[in-house]
Amino acid sequence: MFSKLTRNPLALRLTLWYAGIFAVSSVAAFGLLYGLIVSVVRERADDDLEEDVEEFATFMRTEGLDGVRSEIETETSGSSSEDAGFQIWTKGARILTAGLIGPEATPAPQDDPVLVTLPGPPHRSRWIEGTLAPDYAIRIGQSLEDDDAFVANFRNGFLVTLGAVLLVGAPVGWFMARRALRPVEVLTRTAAGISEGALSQRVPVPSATDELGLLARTFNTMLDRIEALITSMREMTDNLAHDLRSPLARIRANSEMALANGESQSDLIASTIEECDRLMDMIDTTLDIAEAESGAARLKLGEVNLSLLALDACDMFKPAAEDRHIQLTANVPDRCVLQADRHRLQRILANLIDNAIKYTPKDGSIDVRLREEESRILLEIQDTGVGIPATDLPRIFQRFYRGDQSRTGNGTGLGLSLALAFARAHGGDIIAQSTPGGGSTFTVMLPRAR
Amino acid sequence: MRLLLVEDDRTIAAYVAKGFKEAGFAVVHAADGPAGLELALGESFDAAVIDIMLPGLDGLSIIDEVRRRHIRLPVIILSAKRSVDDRVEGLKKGGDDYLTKPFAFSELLARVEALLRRASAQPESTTLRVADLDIDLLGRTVTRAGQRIDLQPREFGLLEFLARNAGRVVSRTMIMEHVWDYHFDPQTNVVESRICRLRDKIDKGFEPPLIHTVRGVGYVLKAHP
Repeated sequence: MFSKLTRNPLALRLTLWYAGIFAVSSVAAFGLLYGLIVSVVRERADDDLEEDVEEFATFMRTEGLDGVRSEIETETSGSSSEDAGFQIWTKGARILTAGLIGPEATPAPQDDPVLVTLPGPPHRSRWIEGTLAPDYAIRIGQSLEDDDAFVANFRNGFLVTLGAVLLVGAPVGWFMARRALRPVEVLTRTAAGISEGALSQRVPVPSATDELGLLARTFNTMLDRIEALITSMREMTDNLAHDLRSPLARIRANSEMALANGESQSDLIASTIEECDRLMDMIDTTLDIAEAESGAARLKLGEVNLSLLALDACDMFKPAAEDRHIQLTANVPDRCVLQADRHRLQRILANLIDNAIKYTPKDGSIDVRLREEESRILLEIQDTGVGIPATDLPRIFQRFYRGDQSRTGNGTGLGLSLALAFARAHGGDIIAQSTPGGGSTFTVMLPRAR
Repeated sequence: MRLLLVEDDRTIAAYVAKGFKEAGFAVVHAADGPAGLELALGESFDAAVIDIMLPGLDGLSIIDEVRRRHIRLPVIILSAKRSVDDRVEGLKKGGDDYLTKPFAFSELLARVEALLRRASAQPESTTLRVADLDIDLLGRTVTRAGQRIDLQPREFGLLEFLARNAGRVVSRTMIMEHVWDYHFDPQTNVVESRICRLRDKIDKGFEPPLIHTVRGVGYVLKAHP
């Protein structure tokens, strides 16, 4: 039991808190009730005594002192002799004493009756001092034995009940807390298991749609994402290592040949520099993507006329496209302004046009279009290229993914990933539609306001 | 021109010093921060090339100290870090410049010369002349051997950039940055296509060819290969 307690400090704390709060509030409620009952009982006793004084005063007027005497005698005779007490005083002298022992002092003359409590023993008693007739004072006492017993019974009954409830309730509360927290324990065990390497494990989701069910589902969603991230990171590291090896191998081969030849080496050296630049570009682009995806890249936002940017990009690529007998056209409105990072938008544009040129054969065409919607701007780059098989479409934005057609080409397989990462950094997205053999359309969606 | 070079990497220092000496500079080299600061404060230089990461005292601290003493010294900062932090950005606003490693020497030279031009505040010439090629920067016209050549605006911009750096190799990255304001080099070789067209207009039918390709490095405009 003790080890269970220390292993479940939250359940223990919950139980203790519940028990404590229950006990305190019970005691408070009882205290209130107790005070109420005590005051009600007292008031009733006092009312009785006052009524008695009035009754005796009436009696005195009708029957005289002797009548009062004989009435008192009847009241104090028999078994109830210890229940009540009487004193009659006149002119500072006591002329009658019967029953309970009362106060010894001479009653002071007064108009209103005076009430006092005597502590006993054997029992507490309540005394009233009133006027019987002019020059006659009367004291009537009533034992509080029954009242005290009633209140004591009530108090004891409450304490016993409270003790019993706490005794039974604490273990039940402990049990309930444990039961409620069990899913958390399961969650903890699963999490501990996962940190040991089993990434595919999932937390059992309770059927109830309560907070713990939500926690379990959220936890599982997080695990899904972590698993996807780790998997893609592994793939990326593998790809990166592979893609870095090829240029390095060429650099090494070039250098070896240059060493062996000894004569005109400028071509080999130039090719080595080109390979180095390619490597650097690949590393830079990988870092750019990582930065944009992690949100570490700070966008330098400013007002950008996307129309102008698209026209500039087309103008820049036109000769290169023409060299490949590809027609590059731009259909854009005069002005299309948004808040964006100019250089990153340039890069999105250039990478998508790059990609279109790479996959479009001779005599094809590429069209760059700009459409404005209420809340966003759509930039479309449509080509009449080889298209993308439906099975490959979801993978084209992955890092180092290259279509079969371009394996031999000089692409890094990073262009689309970078474009997507930059578009997302702007709060936008890129979608690709394609018919194999019929060309592809890439649509960049950029929110107008950020 | 006296140039202060503060760089702790001996290979890079030798490579940079050799390049500047060939370009007609007198180069003084310091291999650590304190030595660099002593030289910068004690002697007079026209420009400085300072690495950020230095033993003893970092490059930015040297520049801070030089600026604090109101010494006029245009500086190019060399940084191995790819992303440039705000302090370096700030220096660029203050008239200095930076270059990330690794870099082409031609680019470093071009940047130093640009700094010197700015520092000496020579009135810019409105015409450029390379061999028999004349470029009128105001009228935006080009003639070769007295013959008018029609260029598109971007072609003119490219030729102007080559002519401003005549005799020096400019890299594709530099062309992309200065002519198109693109801070990266697209995979499709857009510069090559553009140079081909420019060559057709400038060199076709004329002797000698002026636009030369330096493989692996870039392009250069000059009369002699």
